[in-house]
Amino acid sequence: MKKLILSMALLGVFVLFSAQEAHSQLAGALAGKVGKGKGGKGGGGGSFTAFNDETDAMGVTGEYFGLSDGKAYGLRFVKEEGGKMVNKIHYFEKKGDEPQLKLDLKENYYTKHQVKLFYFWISASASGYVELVEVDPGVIAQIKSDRSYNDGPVGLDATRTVVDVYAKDKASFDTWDVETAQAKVDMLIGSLKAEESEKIKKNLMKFESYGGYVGKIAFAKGTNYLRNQRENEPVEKVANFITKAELGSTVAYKPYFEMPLEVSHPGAWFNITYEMLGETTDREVLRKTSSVFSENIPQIDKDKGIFYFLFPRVTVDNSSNSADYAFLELLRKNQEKLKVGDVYDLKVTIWAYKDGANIDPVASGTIQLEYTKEATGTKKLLFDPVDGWVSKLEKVLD
Amino acid sequence: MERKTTIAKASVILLFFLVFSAARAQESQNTILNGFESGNYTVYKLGEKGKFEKVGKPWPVVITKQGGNVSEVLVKRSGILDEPFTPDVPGYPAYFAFKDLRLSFLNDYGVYYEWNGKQEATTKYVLVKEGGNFNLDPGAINKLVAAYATATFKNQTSARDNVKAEKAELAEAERKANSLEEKAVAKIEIQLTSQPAKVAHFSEAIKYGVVATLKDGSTLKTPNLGGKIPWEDFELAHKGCSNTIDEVRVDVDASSLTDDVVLLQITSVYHPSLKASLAINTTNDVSVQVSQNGFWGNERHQHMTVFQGVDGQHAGNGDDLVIKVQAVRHKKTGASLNKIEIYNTTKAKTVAHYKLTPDTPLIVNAKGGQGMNGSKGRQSETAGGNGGNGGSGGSVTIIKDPSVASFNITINNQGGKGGNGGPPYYNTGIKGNDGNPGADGYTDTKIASVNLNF
Repeated sequence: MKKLILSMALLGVFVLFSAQEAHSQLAGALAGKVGKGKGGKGGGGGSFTAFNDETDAMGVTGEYFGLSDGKAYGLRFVKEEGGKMVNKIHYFEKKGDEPQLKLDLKENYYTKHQVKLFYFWISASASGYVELVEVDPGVIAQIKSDRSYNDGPVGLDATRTVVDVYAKDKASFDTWDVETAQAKVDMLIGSLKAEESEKIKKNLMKFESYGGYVGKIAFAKGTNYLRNQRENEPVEKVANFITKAELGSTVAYKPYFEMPLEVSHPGAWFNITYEMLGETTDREVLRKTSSVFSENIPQIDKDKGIFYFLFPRVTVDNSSNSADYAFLELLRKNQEKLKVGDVYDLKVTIWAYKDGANIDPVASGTIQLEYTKEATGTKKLLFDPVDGWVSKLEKVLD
Repeated sequence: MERKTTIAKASVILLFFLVFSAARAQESQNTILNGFESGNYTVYKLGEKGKFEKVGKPWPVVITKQGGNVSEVLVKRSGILDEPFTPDVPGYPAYFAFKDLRLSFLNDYGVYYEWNGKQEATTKYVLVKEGGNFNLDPGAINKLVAAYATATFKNQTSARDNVKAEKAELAEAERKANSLEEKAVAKIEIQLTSQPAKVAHFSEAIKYGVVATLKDGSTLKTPNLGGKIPWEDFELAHKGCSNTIDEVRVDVDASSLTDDVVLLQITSVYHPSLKASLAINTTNDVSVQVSQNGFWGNERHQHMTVFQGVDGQHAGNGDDLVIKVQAVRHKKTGASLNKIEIYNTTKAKTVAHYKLTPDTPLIVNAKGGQGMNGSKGRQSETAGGNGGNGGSGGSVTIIKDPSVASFNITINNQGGKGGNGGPPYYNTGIKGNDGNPGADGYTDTKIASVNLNF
């Protein structure tokens, strides 16, 4: 038994060692530099000055120096390999003919916007992603990301963090520090994003829901009619949209924006106002009026980067027993005016909100709400002394 | 002792800055920037150790003024990247914004920071003007700039009002240019954006716009027809459908469709004698499903107070229903229709009034709910929890008027399944009993005279 345990332990050590050895060929290369800092191991120390005598169509090839360790590295752009066009960058940190990494060029970023972005997946995890972006002729930023494997470079909405800078001329480090390289990368990605937003919008317009309701809010009798699992694929059926409902029943709604909020109003988040019978309630205003509202009306700061709310909002949702307190407050204010059999227009507006003020409306819609005649309808839903929505609110506010 | 003296000195300096800053909180960036010029600024950046470090190379800053107001602060980051910052509120800015970054000038430096929804600042850089001074730590400068920004937001009221007024003025000019107000209008017409294939309960929206012909022969249109007439120019009085702009949907209650048409009616607000209407015949051919099922055992707590042990809860019964059907003719087309009323006798309320063609399917569900599964047994017991019983299906009576030649109604009122018995605590124990299934509901069709008044 002891022999078996000993054998297993030795085998485990061997497997571990072998795995590390296999990985170290790459880990010792560029990926190993991530977070290593000065004085870390990882090879280098060679000279690649001969690379400076080579020319390529990209103007990338040459000897580079790392900002973090000052060591020399070689980069070579390879357009063709074995008669095939490959458009790769070969990365060297050791002398020899074989590069330690071969990174792919994201070709359409270059052909459309002259952004030179090269990437390589060492493993499928976020830490196994390496990206190089040219921020200035002869200056390249090394980037890590927060995303796991993707077919191609990580998406434009991923977080790209500059971890090191390489320059052909060490004097470039006077200006190109990590923060400045990060700012330039953000600018480059921003320009790609702007184009992608237009492309996404063009595709979104093909969807019946987005195309027919851009700038508007669509309503439905449940969140399930409006929910999407994927960004930029609003497959909900407009046949399920409603323009009239029983007051107090479940009404879900979803806004469709002309542009994502972070594009149209950087630094802003969403606010919602409800208007009916001349009264208006405002989520952001209400939040500051009482601890009840402060607790139950959180900021809407998600979905700023997309063209609609991924998960719809509700005025009231009787199936999940949830409601928007701002909508309930509107009903509370209006309760003396509500009459059985009448129909009321409810206007919902989504705003871009910043610095304590609504800046611009980004979507709005109106639905008619009918005070139904049956005692089991509106009156029970809103004013039942135990379960009525308005009654519940009154209990905590009055 | 020496440390205490240092802390005391730092506190005095911070207090001085806070007091000085509080005094400056009354001032907008326009006023503060009177003391600043374009030029090279010494930069301190937040280093990895959480302290400010002086950047080797100064950054050029270009301050552009228009009529006493600063219209842009261009920061040339490291002298190589252009970052144009613009005022948040022209006339009384608290900061200059570039993407989601902000820049506010205080004392004799500019603070370049991020701002979050909790009114907190995170300083990234400090840009000190020539001859200026800066010696605060990150925490102090964050507090200082946040105090300045929030105080200045409060003083922006009149500037914000001006911006709002300017926006409103532009909007009003746009509205007036496109409105029918003070224009000589010959007629207004309702135009459908496309002809609806089906006009019935639950059919898709009918989308419409308005075309106004002016006396000079030119036309104006509402936005959905490619024009800009504001919808506020019209009063709506639609019948048999929702009374909303752009699109309407046929009422679900047939009692409001008295003439078997959806009637769109608009009146010009500025020319009340100008009216337009459009009647669209209903087609009554969209299939409808009505559910009056019993609740499931695991939802029982939503309906009554229950004690939850290891046994599953019993489900609710489907509701008892009376469905009355009467044949009529479409008032405009003469087509055969069935009037259908569904009355829920369990809840004593009318569930639906429909008008459907004889072929259009109506599916009515009054199934019993499914019993809740039993839970794992307790340590002290040999068996698992019993499953709850399924609910019985509701009894449905269809009363068919002799006038009815045919209808297409499907009744689903089966009893619900019983819940599964739960496993025992020990493997040696026994599983709990499965719940009994609910009995199927009774369905009866009678022929009797029916008079439905809708």
